[in-house]
Parts: sequence; C-alpha cells; structure tokens
Amino acid sequence: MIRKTLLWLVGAALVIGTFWNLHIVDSGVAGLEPRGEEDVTVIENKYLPIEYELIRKYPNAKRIGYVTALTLKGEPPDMLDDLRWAQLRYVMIPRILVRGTAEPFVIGSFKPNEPVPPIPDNLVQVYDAGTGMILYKQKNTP
Amino acid sequence: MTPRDLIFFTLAILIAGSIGYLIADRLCPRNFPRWLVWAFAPVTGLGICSLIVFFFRRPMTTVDAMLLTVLLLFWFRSHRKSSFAEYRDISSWRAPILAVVFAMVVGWSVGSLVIRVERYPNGLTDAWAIWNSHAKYLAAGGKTWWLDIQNTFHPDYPLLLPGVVVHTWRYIGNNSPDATGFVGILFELAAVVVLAATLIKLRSPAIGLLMGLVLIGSPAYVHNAASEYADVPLSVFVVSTIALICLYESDESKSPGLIALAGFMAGCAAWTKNEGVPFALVTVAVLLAPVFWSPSATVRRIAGFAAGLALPLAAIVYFKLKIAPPNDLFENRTSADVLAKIADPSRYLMILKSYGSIGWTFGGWVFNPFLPILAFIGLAGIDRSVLRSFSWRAGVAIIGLLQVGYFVIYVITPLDLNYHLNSSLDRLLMHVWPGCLLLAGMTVRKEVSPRTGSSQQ
Repeated sequence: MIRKTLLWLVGAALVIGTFWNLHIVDSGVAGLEPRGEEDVTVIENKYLPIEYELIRKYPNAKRIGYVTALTLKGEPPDMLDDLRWAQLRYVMIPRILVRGTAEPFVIGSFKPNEPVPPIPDNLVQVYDAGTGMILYKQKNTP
Repeated sequence: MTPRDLIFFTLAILIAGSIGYLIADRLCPRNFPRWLVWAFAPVTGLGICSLIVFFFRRPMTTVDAMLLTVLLLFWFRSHRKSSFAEYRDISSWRAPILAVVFAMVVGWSVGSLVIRVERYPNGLTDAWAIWNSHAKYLAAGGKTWWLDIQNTFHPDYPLLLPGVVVHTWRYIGNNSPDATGFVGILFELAAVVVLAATLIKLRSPAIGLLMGLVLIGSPAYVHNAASEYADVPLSVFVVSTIALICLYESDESKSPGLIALAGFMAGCAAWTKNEGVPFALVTVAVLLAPVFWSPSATVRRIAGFAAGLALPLAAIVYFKLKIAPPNDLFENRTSADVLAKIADPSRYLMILKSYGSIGWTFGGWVFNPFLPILAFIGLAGIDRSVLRSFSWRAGVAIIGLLQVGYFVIYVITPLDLNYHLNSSLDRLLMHVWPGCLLLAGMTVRKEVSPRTGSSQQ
C-alpha cells in the first residue's frame, strides 16, 4: 500500500514537474521581442530595397562585396561587425556576399545616423536604400 | 506564415508522413499494431524526402508523386481485405487520465513553440547560419549549388535538415522562414511519439506517457527544437534506431523489415549531423559484437541493418567525397599536436568535470526529473529479464560508446577546450536524452496501471 502510494506520488511529481518546466518555456516565449525586431528580420528589411534594385538593374549579379565603416577605416571587423556580415550573407542567398571591395558590386553597411566614411576611388554609388545600406559598383562595371 | 503557406506546409508534411507510413507499413510485421507503425511514419518520411531532395532536387515533387503512387499500389495489393478493422475499436477506446494530461501538455507545448517560431522565424544562430543557409542554396542555388554552399558556415555538415526544409519550401512555393521552425517542432513531436509509442508497446501506457511527458518537459530540448538546432532531429533518429532494435529483438518472427528500418534511422542520423556518423558506426559495431557466439542471428541482423543503411550511406559518401570540404576539427592537424593533447591529463579532468556539471543541467529544468525517474523505477520494480536482453544492453552500449567517442573528440579538439565544452556539451547530451528515457522506461516492470501510474501488485 505504501509503495503504491509512493509510486503514485512520484508519478504525480513527474507530471507536475513537467507543467513547471513547461511554464518556464512559456514564460521565456512571452518575453520575446516582436517579430519585426528580431535581428535577421531587421537586416532583411534593411537589405530588401537593395535586392529589388539589383533585380531591376543587375539581376545576374552573384558575388557582392561588403564593407562597413570599420573596414573602410582599415580596422579589423569586431564581433558585431562579423555577426551583421553573417546575417546579411544569409539574407542574400543565393547571391554570395564576400568581404572587401574587389567584386563588381559592393554593399556598404553603415549605422543610419552616422556619416558615411569616404569610399575607395574605384567605387561609385548606385543606390542608397535609406536604411543604412548603400549599393556601390566598380567604376568599370557596365 | 500566411494561411496559404500553412496549407501547403501541411500538404508537404502529409506527403512526407504518407510516404513514411507506407514504407514503415511494408517493413513492420503484420502482427504489429498500426498505431505503432504511424509512430515511425513522420521520421521515416522526413528522412526519405530529404534524400529525394538531395538526389533529385528540381524534379523532387515528381519523385514524391511517383513514390507515393507505387507505395499506395503495394499497400492496396497487400491490404485488399480491409485493414481498418483495428481502427474501428478507437471509437470504443476510453482515454486514461494520464493520456488526457499528456494530450493537454503536448497541445500546450506546441502552442507555446508556435508562438516562439512566430517571434523568431529564423531560429537561433545555427539555424540561419548553417541549416537554412544550406537549404537556401539547395533550393535556389542552381546547378552550382554545391559550389555556392561552400560560402556558408560548416559546409561539411550533412544535409538531412536542409533537405527537409527544402521539401517544405518547394510545396509552399517560397522560402518561408517559419516553416523551418515548424519542422523543428515536428521533429520534437516525432521524438516524443516514438519514445511513448515504443514504451506503450513494450512496457505499458503509463510508462510510455510518463517518459514522453519528461521529454516534453525538458525546456532546453523543446527550445532547441523550435530554434531549429539539428541536435533534436539527430536525437529522433538515435531514439528511433534504439527503439527499432528493441522492437526487432522483442518480435518472435525477427522481421528483417524492422532491423532494416533501424538501419535507415541510423543512416539518417549520420545524414543529419557529423556526430551521427560515429553513432551509425558504434551501432554497427554493437550489432556485430555477438557474431562469435551467435553467428547466424548476427548475420541476419546486420544484413537487414545494412540494407536499411545503404540509401542514406550512399548520400553521405557522395556528399563527403564530392561536395564537403574537410571538417574544421581535423583540418591541418599534426600528429604532434594531437599526441600532446592526448597526453595532457588536465584535459580529461576538465571534460569529466563538465560532464558532471552539464550532465545534471543540460535540459534547462527548474524541476530536474533525474531523481523522480530513478525513484519511479525503483518503486515500480526493475524487470531483470530486460537488463539481460540483447536489445537493452545494445542500447546502453551504443549510448555509452557514443559518449566515449564524444569524449575523445573533446580531448583532441583544436578549439579552446573550455569554449568547446560550454558551447556544445549540453546539445551533445540531448542527442541521447530520448534514448536514455527509452532505456530507463524499458527497465520498469510491465504491470503498471495506465490510469494511475501505480503498480497493480
């Protein structure tokens, strides 16, 4: 009888424990930021005007260069810079995003309210998305 | 996700599930209840559909349709006389209270995770940086996808999860990010269903449902599922392999189909993550081990297993030889470097300490279920015949040897050991968590009441 009662109690404890653990999952979900503020979605929304511009004018552009204020100053990318590059690289697939200015097209990713640093002489601005992202092309690219 | 996308996502999953059911139905013996076959249907179907995407890519839907047609023809031929008789009993079935609680918890968990996917449609870092990046190239990369995929993180990782994601995207008609999170939730549910159904068949409904509840109540596990970490799909294939080995050994006819399905699951594990490769290898080794004292049974067992393993193995071999670059853990290593790490005892100590601490908390529980599970098993009584069975010992050996393999990788890792342990050990333990629950549940004596969870003795 005691064993039966204990077994029932332990079984009940496991069930209640499951509820408790699920409550933690639920609380975590309740605290999440809205969809529009999720990092990758933010990057995607910043990039989309440039994608439309590429589709409109240069649909075959596959490899795209990438610069930021930091790399234009000749400094190595920091962790946040690396993260944003990785996120944009994901968003742009099947286009291929590579660091540097050697590709026919280059995207500059800047903070919206900061001045854009001087760009290399071989690049000309094609389109400013107004989201902190600017599309450049090589001067010799048709 | 729009209602239209949801309809086509559901269609994609229904097609995968139907293909999975029809294959599992052919491989499982006739005396098996069909609900048990349904338990293995989603995981089988998702594995097959991923391989179809990899091998055929563009004409994927044609291959799906042809395969489904052929399987249906076979099914109608072998089920001429209605096999719906056993489903008729469903209307007279009365759910035990634990089953009602179980259904409620599943509904609660899925509801919560769907909201999570809505808020985090791209999943966490591994999801977008690895799996969905691979899926995007596979879906839209053109003929050069296998070259383009090199421009992602870990292009050497196998393609089961990206393949499943592409399967759903093709039916939806766009790269819906939410679909990837829903796929993760499906894999979690598949693990719960395989675990619960196997224990219901081999033990009792109470044990099956309780262990299923413990798995759903592992916050880190469900969190990783909705975040589309591939550790959850891998854990599904691990638990399915062990479950099918147990079902094969418990089946008097020793149906070769069951062990072939186990081989397919092990192959899919290797097709999901690199960690699945050692899993498949140790499973083969464990199944081969009795060859010296029981040669004919072992040969029969391993032949069936190899037949099921063949298709995913072909995909892995092709992928690793033709597409994948070398793995970062083994690239540019010198024997001197590896030997120095092997000879360093502090590394072993650090790994053991991490196993001790993370092993206790990897589920992210506020209510840790370890001690209650042990108490439940102790109070319900241990079935000693199970402990002596080949299938249970094989399951324990597979999980044990896999952990030895992981331990060795940590010893020789070129990454900072502390970082490597802290960033991965909890997820590695999740690979075997459903399998551990299965093996723990197997030890409980059968005579436990489904209504109350108490012993009838």
